[in-house]
Amino acid sequence: MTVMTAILPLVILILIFGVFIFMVRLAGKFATPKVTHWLLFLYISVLLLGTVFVPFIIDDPMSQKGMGKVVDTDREFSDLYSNLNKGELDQIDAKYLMKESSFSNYQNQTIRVESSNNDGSQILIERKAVNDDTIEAFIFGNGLIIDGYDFSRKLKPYHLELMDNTLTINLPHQQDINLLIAKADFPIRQFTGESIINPSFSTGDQVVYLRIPNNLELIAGDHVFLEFIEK
Amino acid sequence: MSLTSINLWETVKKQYFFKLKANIDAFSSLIGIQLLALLFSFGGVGSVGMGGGNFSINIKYYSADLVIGFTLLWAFVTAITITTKPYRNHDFTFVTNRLSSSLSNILFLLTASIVGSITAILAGNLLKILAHILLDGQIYSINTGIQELVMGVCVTIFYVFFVTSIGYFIGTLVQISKLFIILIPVLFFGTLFLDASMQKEPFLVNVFTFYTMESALSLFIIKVIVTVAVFFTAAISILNRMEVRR
Repeated sequence: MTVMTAILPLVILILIFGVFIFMVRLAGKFATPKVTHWLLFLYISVLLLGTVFVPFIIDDPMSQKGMGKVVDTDREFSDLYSNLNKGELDQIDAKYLMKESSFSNYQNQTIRVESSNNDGSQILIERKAVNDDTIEAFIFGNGLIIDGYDFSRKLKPYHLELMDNTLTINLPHQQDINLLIAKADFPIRQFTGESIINPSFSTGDQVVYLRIPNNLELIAGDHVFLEFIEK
Repeated sequence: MSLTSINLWETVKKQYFFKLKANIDAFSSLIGIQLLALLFSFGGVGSVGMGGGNFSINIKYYSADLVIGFTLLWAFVTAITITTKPYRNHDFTFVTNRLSSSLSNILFLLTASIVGSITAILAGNLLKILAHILLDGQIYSINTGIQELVMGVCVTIFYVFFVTSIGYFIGTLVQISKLFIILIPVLFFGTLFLDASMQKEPFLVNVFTFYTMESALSLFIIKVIVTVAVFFTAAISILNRMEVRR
């Protein structure tokens, strides 16, 4: 089915091109080609070539991991936060995981968590059953959804830095994201109900999820909200 | 008195092919106008800016909207042009009557609508390629597929043919009396300003939304076909009443 979908446009375009060539030859039998004929021929050839090449330059958000169509944004976000609060990371779709890092051989008994986000950072903490001296960090984001499509991967994740006994959550630098989006033409939009003027847009904060050794004591810095997971 | 009987459809066919050849230059202007529309569309047909947290987003939308709009304008002008006297005089090189002349004109306008619509929709793809190459940016497409391409072409043909029927009707009115050259724009802008001054929705806006806001494809097709039939029938009736070689 997928192969058919990929080949069908090409086959149809070859057919259109063939019919066009046939018509030009047929017309040539009845009349001497004028400049306009050549102009039309050239123009239509360029348009057909463009149509053949356009699938190669277009980035289809649906075909990429983490840039898929979100069917029901509210429900998916609700599921994400529900799974995070229950500590069920294996139930979370991989597209929401923006970054995963690990700090091994941390032997201090305490750790201070700081954030450069003045608006406050939400940090979920899960205590492991063992003391393995390893802090595992996961950053989840429901970042950027435009017109129901997830462009979260365009957003840079928080940067985590462990220095001495302080884990700092650094916000990425100001990002300017420029997107070029090809929309359906108005004769199609009229029947699909799609709008070009009023795109739906949603964004949310990134969530830091830490898995810490059982005996590690956490100290929250300013603007840091720690939330412990009960499993 | 002629002893040769001429079949209507034979005459229409001959006139149609003749007009296709004689008016071929109309397609040069189609190419020109579509290229101009592509140039204007290059910066995007719409853009949205938004921001959140520590990021800002600027979205540029690309589609063939402007190309289709310019094609509608071209179709309107072409339809008016073929009702003018020099073009009508072409018909007298054939054994003809007003009906065969009008029918061949309608067939020519239908052909022009088909060519204009296909090129307009395909020009949208050229726009995406040009934007990708010259703006050096990745283009994301939300709606692609052969079904949409076919649907886009078909609906655009209906729109363009619809506009040609209006143009043909207006052109015919102007052939009756040059007074319509003034009367039609006055009526057009007059109703817009009059309704606006009376603080009610302009009548023409209601007419416009009657077609453009129709979300059921079948109903849209019916509306367009009926309107096109009314305009062309009215134009044929008016032309039939005109004296020969007027």
